Amino acid sequence: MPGWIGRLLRINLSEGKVQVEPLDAELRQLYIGGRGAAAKLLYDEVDPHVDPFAPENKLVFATGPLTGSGAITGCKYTAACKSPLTGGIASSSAEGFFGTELKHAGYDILVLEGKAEAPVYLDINNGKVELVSAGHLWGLSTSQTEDLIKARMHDKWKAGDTSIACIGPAGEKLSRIASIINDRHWSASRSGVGAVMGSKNLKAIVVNGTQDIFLASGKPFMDIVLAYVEQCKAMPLTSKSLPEQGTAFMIETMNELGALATRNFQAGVFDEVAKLNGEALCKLVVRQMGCFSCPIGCEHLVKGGQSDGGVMAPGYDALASLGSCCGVSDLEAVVQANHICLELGLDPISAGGAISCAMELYEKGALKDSDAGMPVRFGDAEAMVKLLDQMGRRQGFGDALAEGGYRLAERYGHTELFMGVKRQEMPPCDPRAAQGLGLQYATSNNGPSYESGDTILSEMLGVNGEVDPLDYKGKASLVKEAQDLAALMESCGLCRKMLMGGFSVLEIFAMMEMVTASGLNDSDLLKVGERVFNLERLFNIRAGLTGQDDTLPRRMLEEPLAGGRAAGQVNHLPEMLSEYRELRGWDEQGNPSAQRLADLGLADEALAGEKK
Amino acid sequence: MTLRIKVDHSKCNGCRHCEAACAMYHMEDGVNPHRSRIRIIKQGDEFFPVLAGPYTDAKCNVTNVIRIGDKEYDMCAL
Repeated sequence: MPGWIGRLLRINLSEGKVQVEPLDAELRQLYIGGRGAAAKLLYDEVDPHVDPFAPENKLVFATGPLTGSGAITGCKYTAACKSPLTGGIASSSAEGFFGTELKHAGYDILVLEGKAEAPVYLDINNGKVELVSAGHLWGLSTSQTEDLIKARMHDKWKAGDTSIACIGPAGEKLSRIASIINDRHWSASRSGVGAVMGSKNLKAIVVNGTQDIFLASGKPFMDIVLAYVEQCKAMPLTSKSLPEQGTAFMIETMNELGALATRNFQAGVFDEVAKLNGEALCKLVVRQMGCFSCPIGCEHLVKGGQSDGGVMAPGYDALASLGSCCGVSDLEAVVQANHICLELGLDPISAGGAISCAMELYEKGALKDSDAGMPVRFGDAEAMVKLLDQMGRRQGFGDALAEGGYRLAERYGHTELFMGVKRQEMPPCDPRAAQGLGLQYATSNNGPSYESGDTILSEMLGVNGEVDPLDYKGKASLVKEAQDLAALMESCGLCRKMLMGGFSVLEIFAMMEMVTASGLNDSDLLKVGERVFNLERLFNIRAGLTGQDDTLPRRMLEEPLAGGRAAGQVNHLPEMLSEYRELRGWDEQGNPSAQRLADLGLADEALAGEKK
Repeated sequence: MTLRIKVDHSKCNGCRHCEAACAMYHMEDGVNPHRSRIRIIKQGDEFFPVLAGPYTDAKCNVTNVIRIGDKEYDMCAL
C-alpha cells in the first residue's frame, strides 16, 4: 500500500499495553487517513457521552498518505479526541515535522487509550515502542521538555532527527484551551486536545525512524511536484506574501475589509494596525522557516519574547487574537504572548478570545478588580501578558480563564459577551464582514476554526476569483465546498495554505494518484471530504449537540458592525442556513437525512446512531 | 559534465524538500530523507545543508573523487 505505512499503533496507557494493527483497507479507501481516519476511529470506538477527561476518551494522532511523501505542503498530522471545550469532536491539525517522522518511525496512526498512573512519555523508535517515566518532565515548559529529552539521548545525530510532540503546564492542568506543541514551534492548538493528552498523564510523544515511505509512481510524481513548486514560485501569495511576512500579511487586508476583530469584536477596524502588520513584523525577523517539503515557507523566527534565540513569529490568528482583539498594539508584547502560548501549551486564538472577553466584562463592570487581581482594560499589553502566564499555570484569576471564554462569561453572568460558537472562541475575523465565513463558523463540527473551511481565500483574499464578502447569496455552496475540501486535505495530510497558490482538488487528485494509486478520482475525493464532515456531524449529534448549536454570538446577528468597509452589517446566518442545510441534505434540525448518508456510504453509521 | 551545487546556508529555511527529492530520485519507488546524501543540520536557529559522509545509509552510490595534492580520495575513505 504505497503512501501509507499500513500500521496503526494502539497504546493502552492504563495497562501499558501496546498493540500493532494493520491499517484497514476500507478505512484507507473511504477515509484516506488523517482527520478522516481519526473521525472514523473516534466514531466507532468512543462513547459520545463520555467525560472528555475520562480514561475512556481516546486521543488519536493520524497522518495521511501524502504526509512525508514529498508532496508539496505534505506535512500534516491531526490530533483528535472528544473535545473538553465543545463537547463534540475535536480535530486539530499541525504542520512541522512530527507527522513525517511518525511515519518514518513506522506508524500512520496512534490511538492512545486509558490513563497512565503516573506521568509518562511515549518513545517510538523505528517501530519499537516504550513508555518512559516523565516525572522529571512534568511541570516543564514545552521547549524545556524537548531540550531535556534530547539532551538525554546518547546519539546527538539521532537527537537532531528526532521529532517531539508534547504538552506544557496548561495541558497538564487540564486547561480546556490547551494545545499540543510539536517540534517546538508548531501546534495542534484548537478545541483543547492538549488537555486530553494531559488527562492521560502523557507528557510527550517522541518519534524517530528511518523506514521508507513507498510511492506508487515515483518518477512522474517527482515531475508534477517540481511543476507545483514552480507554480508556487509564480503565484503572488505563495511566492511573496507568505514567505516574506507569513500569514501576518492578512492583517492589513482584513483591516481594509473591516473584518479585523477588534476589542472583543466590538469593531472591525483597528486604528493602530500599522504597529501590528506584516511589515512591522518583518523588521523583527531573524530567519524564514519551512515545514517539511513545503515550497512556501511561511513561518519565521523573530527577535523578542525575552529569549536569547529567535522565537516563532505570531501568524495572523495570534497577532489579531492577542493583539487587536485585546486592543493591544504593542508588537513586542504580542510576540512575547505568542511565545508564552507555545511554551505553556495554550491555543493563542482561544487564549486571546478569553482575555478579550475578560476585558469587556471588566469594562462593562461585571468583572471587578478583586476578581481579576488587577485592572484588565482593553489595550493593556502588560495585563494581557500577565493573564496569559497565569492562565497557562492556572494561578489566581488564570484558573477561571483556563476554562475558556464561554465558561468565564457564564461565571460572571454575561454569556452574550463571549465571542464564539459551541463554546469555542472564533478566529479573529469578523463574520459580519464576511458572510460565508459566518456560516462556516456556525456549522463547523470542531467549533469555529479555519480548519473546517477556507472561505476567506475566496471572500477576502481573491484566490480563484473575486467574491463579494458582504453578499450572503450563494454562500451556502461556497461554504460546503470549502468545508469538504478542507476535510479532504487534512485527511490526505496536506497543509491548506497550499490553496493560496491557486491549487484545487485536481492537483490533490494528481498527487494522491501518483503516491497511492488508490483509483479515487477528483469527485471521489471530494466525496471523502463530505463523508468525513458528515461523520463528524453524526458524532456531535450523538454527543448531544443539535442544530440549535449552529449559530453565532448575538453580536454577530444583531449588532451592526461599527466603522470600516462593512459598517452597518450583521451576519445573515438564518437566510444562509436553510439553503446550506438543503445542499447538505440535512433536515431543519441539522440532522443528515438517511438518504444522503446512504449516498455517502454511511448507512450503517446512521442506523447505529439511531440505536444509541 | 559534473554539476555542483553551491550552497548559501543563509537561504535555507529547513524544509528538507531537498532531502526528500534526493532520496526520491535515487529510490524511484519511495521517499526517505534518511537515504538522502544531502542532509540539513539544525544548529540553534540556523540550518546547514551538508553532504552526508560515507557511513550514511544513502540510496545513491555516488563516490566523489576528491584530489588533495597528488592523492585521490573517494567519499568512502575520506
